[in-house]
Amino acid sequence: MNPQFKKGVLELIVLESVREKDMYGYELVEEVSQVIDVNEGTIYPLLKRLTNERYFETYLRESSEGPPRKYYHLTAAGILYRDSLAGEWEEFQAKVNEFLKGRNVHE
Amino acid sequence: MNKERFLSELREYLSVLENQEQEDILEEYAQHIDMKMQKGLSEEEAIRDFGSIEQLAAEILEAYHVNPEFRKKGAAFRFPKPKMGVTPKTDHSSGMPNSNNANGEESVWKQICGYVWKALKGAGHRIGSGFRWLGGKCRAFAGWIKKPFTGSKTGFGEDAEADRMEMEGTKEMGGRMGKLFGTIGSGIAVLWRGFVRFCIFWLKFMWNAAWLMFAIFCGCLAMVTLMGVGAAPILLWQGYPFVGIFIICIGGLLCLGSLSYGAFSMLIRSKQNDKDGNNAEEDKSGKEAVYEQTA
Repeated sequence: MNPQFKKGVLELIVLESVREKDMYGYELVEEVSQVIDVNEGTIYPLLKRLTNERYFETYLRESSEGPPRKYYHLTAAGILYRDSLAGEWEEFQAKVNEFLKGRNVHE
Repeated sequence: MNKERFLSELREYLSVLENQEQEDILEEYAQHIDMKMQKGLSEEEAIRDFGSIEQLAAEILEAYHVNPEFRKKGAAFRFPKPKMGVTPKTDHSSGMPNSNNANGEESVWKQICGYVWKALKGAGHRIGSGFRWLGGKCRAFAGWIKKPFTGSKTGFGEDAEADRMEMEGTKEMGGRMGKLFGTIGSGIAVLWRGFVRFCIFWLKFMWNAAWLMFAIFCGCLAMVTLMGVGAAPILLWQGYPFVGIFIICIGGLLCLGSLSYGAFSMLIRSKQNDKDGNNAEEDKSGKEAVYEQTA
């Protein structure tokens, strides 16, 4: 898959994943990997950026195995941002699909 | 590559960031590697999945809006390297030499500024005296230009004297004709005198106006360059390549400032001369009037 495609949608997938339940980094990476094949390293910078932009809040929670884990929680601003991104995505893919279909009919 | 190497290398790339942030990120990656290893992957494999460290670091820095090229640019801004494998706490130890360095640089700057200031002062005196000399020459030149007019004035005075002599002559011949000629002659003389005076006044006026315009023009430009001199160092400090513009602004300020000063001083001098000249003329005309009355 085109890496440029992935990059654009990755943010939306990460936001959507965290919206359902708070997650820690590794868990999130696994979740996202199920949807798109992505370099695991690139998700952490994304989480960092979204946290810096106040779309995520983080907290530590003890775990039964190993050190405490940092959980990500979607803020109200994050929910709004997710919705606007989802809207953009819908519109975008609808337009692209329509365009592609139109081309196929012509041919 | 093992975990330690990976983390310390990544830390090097992220040395622009605050220690706390570095720790946060490295913690996540360390945990990620641990969990992968728990799942049965080898250390090597877990790290290989991250791809190139440099690219990874670039992506992390991008999240902070930091230019990943920053680290490569000039050694001057290089932060002290954290030692391999040693976990943070370099905060204070790295902070001290940094500030010392800054102090050293500051004192060097002060010295340089001192030299520049002295040089500027000396140059200013020299430039000032140069301009004074030039101003003197200019004044002399202006006087030389004015000379023909003032000369014609005195010449005119002599003419009037000659006229009067003629008048006396005709008077001696007697008769009304002589008197008539006399009044016509003096009328022409008065007209001529007024015309010359008008011309001189007008020339002086133009002269002053030209200098005034020039002085104001130079003054305005000097203000603009002064603004440049103020603004350029700030932009320079922020890393814009404004050295050339700064120097041009200083040059422009000195040049235009002294030009406008010169022009203004020229203006005042010529005005004073004007006053003196007028007084002298008034005196002269007064005397002449008295002379004419007695005649």
